[in-house]
Amino acid sequence: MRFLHTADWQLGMKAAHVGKAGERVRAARIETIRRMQQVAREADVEFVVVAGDTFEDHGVSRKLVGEVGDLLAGFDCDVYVIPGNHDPWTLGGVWDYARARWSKRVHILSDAKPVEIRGGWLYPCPLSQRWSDDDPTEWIPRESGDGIRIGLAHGSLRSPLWEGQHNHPIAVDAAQRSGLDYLALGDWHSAKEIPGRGGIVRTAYCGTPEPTNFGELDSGYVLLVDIEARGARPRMERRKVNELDWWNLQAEIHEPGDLARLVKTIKQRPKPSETLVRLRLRGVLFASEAELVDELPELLSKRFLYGQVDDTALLPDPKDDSWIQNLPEGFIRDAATRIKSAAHDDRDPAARKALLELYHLSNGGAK
Amino acid sequence: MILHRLEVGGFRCFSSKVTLTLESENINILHGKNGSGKSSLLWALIRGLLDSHRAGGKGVGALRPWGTDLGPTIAVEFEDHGRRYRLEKSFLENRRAHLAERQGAKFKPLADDDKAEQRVREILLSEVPTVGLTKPEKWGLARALWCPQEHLLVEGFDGRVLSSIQELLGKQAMNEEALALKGTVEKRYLEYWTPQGKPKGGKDAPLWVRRQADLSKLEESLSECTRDHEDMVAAQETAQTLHEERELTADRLDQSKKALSELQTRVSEYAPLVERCGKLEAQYHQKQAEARALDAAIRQVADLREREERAQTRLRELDEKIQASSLEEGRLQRLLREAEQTLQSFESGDPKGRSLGHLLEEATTYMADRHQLTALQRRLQEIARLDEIVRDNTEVLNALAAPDDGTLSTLEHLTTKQVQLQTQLEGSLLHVQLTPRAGCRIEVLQGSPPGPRHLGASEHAHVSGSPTVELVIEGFGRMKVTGPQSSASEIEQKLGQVTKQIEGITTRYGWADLVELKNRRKRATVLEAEIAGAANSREQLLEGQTAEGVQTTASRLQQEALRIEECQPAWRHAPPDTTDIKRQLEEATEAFERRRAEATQQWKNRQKEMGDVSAVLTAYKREQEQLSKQSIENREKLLRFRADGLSDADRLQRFQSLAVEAVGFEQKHKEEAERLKRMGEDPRPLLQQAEKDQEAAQKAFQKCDGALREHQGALKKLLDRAPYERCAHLEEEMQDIRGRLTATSCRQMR
Repeated sequence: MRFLHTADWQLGMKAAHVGKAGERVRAARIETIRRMQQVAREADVEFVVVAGDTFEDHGVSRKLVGEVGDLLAGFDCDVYVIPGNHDPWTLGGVWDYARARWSKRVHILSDAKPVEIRGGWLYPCPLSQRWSDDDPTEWIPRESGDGIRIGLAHGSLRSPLWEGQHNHPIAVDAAQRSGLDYLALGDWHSAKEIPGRGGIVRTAYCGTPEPTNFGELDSGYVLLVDIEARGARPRMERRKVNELDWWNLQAEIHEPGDLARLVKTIKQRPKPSETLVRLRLRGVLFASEAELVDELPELLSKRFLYGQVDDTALLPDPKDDSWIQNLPEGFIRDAATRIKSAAHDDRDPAARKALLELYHLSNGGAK
Repeated sequence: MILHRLEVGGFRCFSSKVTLTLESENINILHGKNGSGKSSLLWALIRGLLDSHRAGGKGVGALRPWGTDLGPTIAVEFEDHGRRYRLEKSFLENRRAHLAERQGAKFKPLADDDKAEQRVREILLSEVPTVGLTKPEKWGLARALWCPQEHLLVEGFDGRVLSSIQELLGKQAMNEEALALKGTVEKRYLEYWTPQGKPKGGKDAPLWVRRQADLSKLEESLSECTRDHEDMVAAQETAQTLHEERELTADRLDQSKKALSELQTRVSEYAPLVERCGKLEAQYHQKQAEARALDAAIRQVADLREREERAQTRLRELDEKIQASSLEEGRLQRLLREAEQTLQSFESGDPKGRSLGHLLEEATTYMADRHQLTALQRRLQEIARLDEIVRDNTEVLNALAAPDDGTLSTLEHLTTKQVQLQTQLEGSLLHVQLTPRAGCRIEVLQGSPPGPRHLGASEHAHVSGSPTVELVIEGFGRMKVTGPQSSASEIEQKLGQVTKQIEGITTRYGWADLVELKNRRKRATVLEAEIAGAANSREQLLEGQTAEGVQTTASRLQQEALRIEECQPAWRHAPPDTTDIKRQLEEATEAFERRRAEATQQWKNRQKEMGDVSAVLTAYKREQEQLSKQSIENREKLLRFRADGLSDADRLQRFQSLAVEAVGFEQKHKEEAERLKRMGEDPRPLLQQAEKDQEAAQKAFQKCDGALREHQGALKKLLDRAPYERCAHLEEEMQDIRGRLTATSCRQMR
């Protein structure tokens, strides 16, 4: 049995944090579906499972729902979809609309009951509410029927090592407990395989196929899952499908020239029009490169799809007090001394920002 | 200049005094709600430092608290070049200005009024104020220290002020770089702000102002969009609730339909079974009733035959008994007639008894008459005696001439009065006693006793008179003794009248005195009592009759006694013994009554015997009659039983056949009833309820379904607006604007 495991498409999501690039971000998520179709076609999968959060919200436009339906009809196989916590099953929701209009090959599984698939059974665990403390896989029966048993659920793994708040918590051993050959999970945006008894991975998050924010380590994938027979070890293969690159760039400036090298690196980044950049600068700002820092926001915003510079962690060279000595004697110089002390010794973010601004001023900002 | 303290009273919103103490070493922030007086405090500082205490006009008048005529008072403590000052000013009322400098712990006066204000102007480099409120152009250094709201004034400093600022800020403000910075700041400032400190508007409005306006509009749209989204989520929840309700009512409807269907099936099986069971039961009861009826008929025939035989036997016995009783009745009738005749002989009474009764009656009358006659004679004698007493006493009374009580009382009164008058008269007289040593002749000229007389030696002579006693004494002469004036003559006159009245009374009783008359009165009273007692006794004896009447009664009784004595001469010498006669009469009566009672008892006995026999005979006849009637009925019934044409044997066979059939039907009925019982409760009543339930469930479902459809329409409209996506676009646009604003702000700040 070979199938494609995906989840968390979150179509129609807000991307307010990237401003005007949001529209492009949304469009990319739809485009990713086409990529997935290509992967599915190449891998000759028997079916596709979408483990929840297909849509970001029920309030997305019906036009989008229709468009997605058309795209899903382009898969060459059956597609099994369950509602997630972002798009839980509710009357008058997207699923009501979709069920009436989408292709019959797209199965919207709103009931927790086994579905017979070629070569086995699929156990869908649809969500009908945004928040819950119940394990959606609880209902899956233990008995082993004929064929391969695939679970399809959406929720956070109930593990003390798991970060964040538990919503629709799923037992770590849910696959073993329910005698599943594979438990396809959605909710976590990074791909993650969860090893079970004997180190065999029967539970996995596929992650979101298109990143939603900076800092998502393993997003942008789908999983191709192969299970030869009931009880066999599943084989999983990650396939990159994302369109946009969310570049979370963190640069340390320690000596003069570092900043120039960084600028060069930025300029060499391929596909800038499909890249969103968040640059975080840390370290020392040397007087000779202060102007370069000023140019960075414009460089990023003009070159890339989206650019953001955070230089609040950058401090003027503590060894170089000449700029302070150049300040007019009196309260301005006193203020600069005190701010510098607060920024270096107390690591006060406001003081750092103030010091940097003062530094800019002293270095010709007023020109 | 460092501000230390500000005291304000009667100024704008501060009717009463408030004090603001400032931390000179730190930044002071005035924090408060709109209208709490922050700006007023700062304006008070300006007014106190810069305005003349003599200032007037509308502007100054407007400083008063609204609706009062309080005069503003402001005191400012400040430090300049290390010297601490206190400036006090009063406006409009008690106008004055006073400047003092602290030396040690106290403030010592420096100057008053105009001189004080001049000293402050020197410190602040300000100009002489105008008539009203001082214009900012004349504030001097204060313009750099005080930036009123929306009045950023960085232009127009005169050279004196500028040099002072430069002096205060130090050399850094004087180099070329600082001046260049100043120029850049001013230029940049005017790009975005008006000289009055307001953001530029219209075509010249800076980009960030336009962006801010865009942002505000977007925020409004976003709010609207967010509300739409919230409405959509709420509507979805409502739709879900309605859907669940609809599903619930649909389940109920299905259940009620299913229940109804089951009941209908049950009823379709149950009803024929009930009918069959009822039919079998009816057949069983019918056969059982027929068998019972036949059994009853068999029994009745046998019973009738037995009863008829008994009736005939009894009828024969009764014939014999009636004959014997009739003979006995004739004998008893004869005996009864004899007893009646005996009893009738007693009805005329006992002749001996009647004779003795008459004798007793006469003896009783005779003895009563004699007794009454004797009593009457005694009464007549007593009456005669009493008449004599009355007569004698009346004669004595008449001879006694006793006064009556009223006369005696009048006489007693008059006698008492006479004594009183005599005593009074005696008291009013002048008494003269003469006792001559030798005999002499005296003559009383006035006094009593009057006239001459002779007195022997040592003889006493008493003369009395009133009011004067005058006498002539021989050998002595005339002596006249005069006493006090009194009414002796009047008393004597009254005495005379009383005496005359007494005499008038006593003359009628032979001059008897009062004592005698009292004695007579006592005696007369005794006599009158005796007469009255005798008369009273006589009246009692007469008992309301006259003496002649009593006498007549006595004569009549005498004649009656004589008449009886003529009939019974022996009674004249020996009065009859009524007791003995009565005893004889009682004995005769008793014997007669005894005989009559015996005859009565005899008659009654005969009557009873006669009644008994008659009753027995009647009973026999009645029984005979009843038995005859019963016999006829029995025969008729037997005839009717024979009408079915069955013999007793046939009837018995028929009965046995019916009994067997009844048992058969009973067995079948029991089997069917058992089946019915196994089917459980009768579903027919439940069917009706189930039909009602289904109808109610149908209505509930239709209601929920209608509500859901209606709500889905509303929800669709909300969904069609795609609120989430609109929010996404708006938020992204706003974020973009904010990013640009931040970058622009930083650039502009630099």
